[in-house]
Amino acid sequence: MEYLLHIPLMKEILLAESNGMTFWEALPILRNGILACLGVAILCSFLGVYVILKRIVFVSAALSQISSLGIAISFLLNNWMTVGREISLEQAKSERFLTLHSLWALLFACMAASLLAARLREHRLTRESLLGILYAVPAGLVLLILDRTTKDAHEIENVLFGNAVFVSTPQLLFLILTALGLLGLHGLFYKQFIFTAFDPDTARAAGLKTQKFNQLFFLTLAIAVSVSITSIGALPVFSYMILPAASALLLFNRLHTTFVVAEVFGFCSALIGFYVSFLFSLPTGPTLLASAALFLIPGLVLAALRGAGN
Amino acid sequence: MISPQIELVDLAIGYGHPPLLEGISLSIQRGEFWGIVGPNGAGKSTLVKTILGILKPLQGRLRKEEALSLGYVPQRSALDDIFPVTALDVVLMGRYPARGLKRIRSEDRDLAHKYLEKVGTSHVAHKPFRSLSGGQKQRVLMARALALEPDILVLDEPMDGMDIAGEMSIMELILKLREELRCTVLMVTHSLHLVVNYAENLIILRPGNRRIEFGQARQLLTQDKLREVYGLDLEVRSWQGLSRVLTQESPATGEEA
Repeated sequence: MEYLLHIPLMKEILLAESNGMTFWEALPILRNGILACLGVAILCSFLGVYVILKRIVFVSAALSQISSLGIAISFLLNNWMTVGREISLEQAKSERFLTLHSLWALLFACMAASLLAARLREHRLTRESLLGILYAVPAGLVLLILDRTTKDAHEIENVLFGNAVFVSTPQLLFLILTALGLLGLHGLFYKQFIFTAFDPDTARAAGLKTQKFNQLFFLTLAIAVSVSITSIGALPVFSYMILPAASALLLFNRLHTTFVVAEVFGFCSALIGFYVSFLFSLPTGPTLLASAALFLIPGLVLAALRGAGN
Repeated sequence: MISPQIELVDLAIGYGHPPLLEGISLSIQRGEFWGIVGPNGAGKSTLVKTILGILKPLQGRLRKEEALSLGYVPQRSALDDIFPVTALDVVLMGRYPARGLKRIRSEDRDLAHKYLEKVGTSHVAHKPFRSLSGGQKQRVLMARALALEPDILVLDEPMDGMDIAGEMSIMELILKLREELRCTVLMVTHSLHLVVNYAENLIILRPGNRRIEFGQARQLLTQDKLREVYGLDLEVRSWQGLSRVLTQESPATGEEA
C-alpha cells in the first residue's frame, strides 16, 4: 500500500491531517469502517434501483425503523439480563455486534418484509397505512427504549444515526459475506426479479412464480437493511438505498447501465463521505448522506436542461 | 370431436365472495377469435386474468391443453414509465420464462428482432419504451407476447385510447398475426364496431349480473342485447358488407358508438 504515497495527488489526499493525525496514519483504525461503508454502499445502491422502480421507498424506510427497533430491544434485553453483572468491554462488543443485535434486527426486518410482501385485500387497511404504522410505531418505541436504557443511549444513537465508525473484523466479514450472497442471488434471479417488477401480471401469465419472487425480493431487502444498519447505522443505509439509484435513474435510459452507475455512485460517495468526515471531524452518517446527495446534481441539471429544451 | 384448447366448467371468478361472475361454462377451440365485451367493471379483465392463470378460480374447473402457451398483451397503461427499458428489453422479457436461470442467447435476440419487425416496430428497438407513442407501445407488447411463441394470444383492450386510424391499424395487425401464426385470439375490447366484424365468437358481460352470455358475434350483438348491457339505444346495421354499431337516431353514415 506504501506505493500509493508515491502517486502525486494520492499523496496529498492520504497525508491530509485532522486533529494532529494524517488520514494515512488513521487508516488502520478506520479501515473496517471504510470497508463496511463501501460494502453497504454497493449492496444498497444495487437494491435501491429496484426500490425506486417498484415505488417502495417507504418500505425501505419502514424496514430501517423496524431493524432499529430490533436493535433497541436487543439493548434493552441485554440491559435486563446483565443487571448486577460486570461485563468486559470486549465481551459486550462481541455480544452486541455479532450476535444479539444483528439477529434481532434481522428477525424484525424479515417479519415486516413478509407482511409487506403479502398480497393485502385493501378494503379497510391499505398497504400505505400499513407502511405508515410500521414506520411510526417502531420510531416511537425506539425513543421510549432510548429513554429507559440511558446506559446504552449513546451506542443506540450511534447505530441509528450512523456514527458507528468502528466496525469489528468479524462484523465486517459477516457484512461482506451477506452482501456477496445477496448480490449473487440477485444475479442468479435477475431476469425473474426484473420481469416481476416491470409487469407482474404478464410474468405470472408466462409461468413465473411472481408472488414467490416478490417475497424473495422483500426478504433480500430486509436482510440487506438490517445487516447494513447494525454495521453503519440507519441514516446512511437509507440514503444509499435511495440517492445513488435516483442519481443514476435521472441520467440513464438503460437498465443495466443504471445498475452499474448506481453502484459506482454509491462506492464513490462512500469514499468521499468517509474522507470528508475524517478531514473536518464531521459525524460520519450525515456526511455520507451529503456526499451521496452530491451525485444527484448531474441528473438534476440534465433534467432541468431537458425541461428547458421542451 | 377435437378437444378444446381451453375449457371452463362451472367456473366462479372474482376476488372473494360473492364472486364477480359464476356458472361460466364454455370451450375455446384452436384458431378461434373470441371478443370479450361489456361496460367497465363488468369483469372482463378478471375473466381474462383467470384464464391466464394470474387469478385462481373461486370455484369450478379450468382445463387447458397440455403445454399450452398463452401470450398476454396487458393494457399498456398498466406498465410504469419509470422503468429505463428499451423496446428490445421489453420484447426480450418474453423469452425470460423459457430461459429460466440461463442467460439470454443470441437466438433470443434474433427472435425478439424478428417479432419487432413483424409488428412493424423494428426501428424503435433501441429506443426507451417510455418514449414510444401509445400505438408503438402496443405493438411492442404484442411482439413480446409473440416472443413466447404462443398458442393463444390474449389482448386486454389493445385499442384503448387510440383514434380510429390507430384502432384499425392494430386490428389489422391482430388479424394478420392470427392468419400467419394460426393462433387463437382472445380480445377484451370496447370497440364493438370492430369486434362485431372480426371476432367469430363473443362473450358479453354485464355489471351486476353474475352470468355471462356467449355465442356467435353477429347473432349475439342485437339491439335488445346492447340496450340490456349498455343501457343505450344502439343498433347493429349492415353497410357495405360490414356491420356497424350505431346510436339509434343517427343516420347510417353517422356517429358510431
